[in-house]
Amino acid sequence: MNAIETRGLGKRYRRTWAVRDCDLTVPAGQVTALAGPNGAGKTTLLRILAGLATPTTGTATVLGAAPGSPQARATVSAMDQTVPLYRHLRVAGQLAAARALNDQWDADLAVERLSALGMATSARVGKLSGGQQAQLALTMALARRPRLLLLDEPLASLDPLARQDVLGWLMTCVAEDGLSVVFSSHVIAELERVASYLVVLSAGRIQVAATVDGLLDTHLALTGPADGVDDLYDQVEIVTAQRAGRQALVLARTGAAPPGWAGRPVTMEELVLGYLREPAARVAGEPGVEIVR
Amino acid sequence: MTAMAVRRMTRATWYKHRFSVVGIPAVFLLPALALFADGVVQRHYLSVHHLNGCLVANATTGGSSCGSAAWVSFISPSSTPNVIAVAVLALPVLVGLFAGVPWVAREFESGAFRFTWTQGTSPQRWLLGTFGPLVLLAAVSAAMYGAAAYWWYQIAQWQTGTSIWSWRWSSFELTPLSIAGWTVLTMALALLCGVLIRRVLPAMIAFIVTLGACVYLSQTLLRPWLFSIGPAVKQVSTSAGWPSSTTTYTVQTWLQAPSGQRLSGLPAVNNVSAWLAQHHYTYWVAYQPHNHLIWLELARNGILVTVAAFAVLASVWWLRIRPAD
Repeated sequence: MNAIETRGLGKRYRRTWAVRDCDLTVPAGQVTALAGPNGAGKTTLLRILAGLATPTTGTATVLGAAPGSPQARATVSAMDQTVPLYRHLRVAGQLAAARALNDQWDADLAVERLSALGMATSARVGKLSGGQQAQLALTMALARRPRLLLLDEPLASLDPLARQDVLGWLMTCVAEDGLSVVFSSHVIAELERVASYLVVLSAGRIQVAATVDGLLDTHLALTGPADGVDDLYDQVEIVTAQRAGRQALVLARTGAAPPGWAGRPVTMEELVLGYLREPAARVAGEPGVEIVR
Repeated sequence: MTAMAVRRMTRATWYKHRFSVVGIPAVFLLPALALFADGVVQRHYLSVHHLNGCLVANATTGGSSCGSAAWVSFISPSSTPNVIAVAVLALPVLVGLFAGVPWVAREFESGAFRFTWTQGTSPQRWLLGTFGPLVLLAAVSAAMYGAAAYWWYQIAQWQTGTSIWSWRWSSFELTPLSIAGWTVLTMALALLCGVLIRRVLPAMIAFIVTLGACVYLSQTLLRPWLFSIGPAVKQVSTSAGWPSSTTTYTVQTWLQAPSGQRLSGLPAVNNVSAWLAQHHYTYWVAYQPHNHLIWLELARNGILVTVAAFAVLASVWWLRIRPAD
């Protein structure tokens, strides 16, 4: 079963399309990184999948159910980037409210996690730091024991140590429970360590949707003469090319460097940035699909 | 919603809206206690001075024994019953304005609704599950407040020199049923304004305007129309046979010729009574007897609750088509 499937999904706010013509398939059991610049439509896409917003066009399913349906609500957990909490409550009250709202609630998990974080349940939520609030929201999202977790910028307000800790905890949950996770973040370097699937959104459209390993195996960073770039277009699929004096750095979709060019494996950050620099370039589905320019 | 879901939402409402859950009954019950205490003191005074008869329907301060009574109430003796009634009726409006509108509009404004909606609870269940317990609590508290207000208002009317008449608008509106009905309507309108506008201050303004329109329509159209429905009709003479003016409401009077034709105006003669008798005209009155009052009150408040139900349905419908975009 796929964790996420969208067909022709679009969301318009007045005259602006936040998400448009979005065809996306994310298999279950993956940790999916959702990357894209500000205003790319990441939050809108995640809100549609969480049942917090209705699409203008197209359809979406999460674990085979329509977002917002009782089946989806029972199995999908989401954490919005605004970290919605009742700030006038104490932590214990917030947990009690969450427990009352859910059919399934792992109180032990929540208490253990908050104890490990040193968060007092008597503390008022509004008095917690931004990072602590994010940790509390994430704890409640996981205490529901979901099968799909949608996280919108969960790392944004965390310090580097807390980021490592959260990502480690997420990976443990994925390994133990077979949880599918989709999370958006600007911190691409940190996503690289945990993500097995990459979705890049640009200007509301899906630019890349494929496994991270597949993408890294089929892309190379090529270095060579700047005046050879034009000829290179005939030999490999170029995502983006940057010229710096007489040298050029090219992100290409190829398994081997052409003669006259030095190739090295790309990092996920280079890959994402390369595609974001060239919004017309697309890779949808498993590697093997041609780059559309 | 299943019983289990209702219990869960009620528990969640308690955790999230403890202030409202405690505050709404307190806002109604504290004034109710004050009115009750004042009423006990004043009725005790009447009893001690053998003035209990002053509280019967046709007594006024104009009567010699009743008029001689003077005591200090916490209301100003110079206040008119209408002003007092408006002050008493302001409470449901204030509860709707400061408790009803913000609980839903603030959730949208702060984004806190996203917490509940991502905790396995649908927007509709969130709305009805939170609104249901709150409105039930408000209605029961308001009815208790209304009972105290109605009981106390009998003295207030007499004390301010107004005869006690159950058909007066203020008496009609100060019953437990009416105050509970208005409270349900104010809470439902608060909900609708909050769901439609989703910003606290503009929703408050919209609430005041909408409620004002409802009050105006109720006072100028609905109540007069209801009072004209199904009256008792009785033939009277100019001097006798009239229904009691202190317990009934006169809808219409007219003169009728032996042929059944109604007289459009009185003749320009010196002795009208003699002229009418001479021409065998009869005098008729259509009136609402006292026992109709409770049915008319039920009907009016049933309409208020129906309007409230439509407002709630409209809120649910709007939330379904525009959840949170």
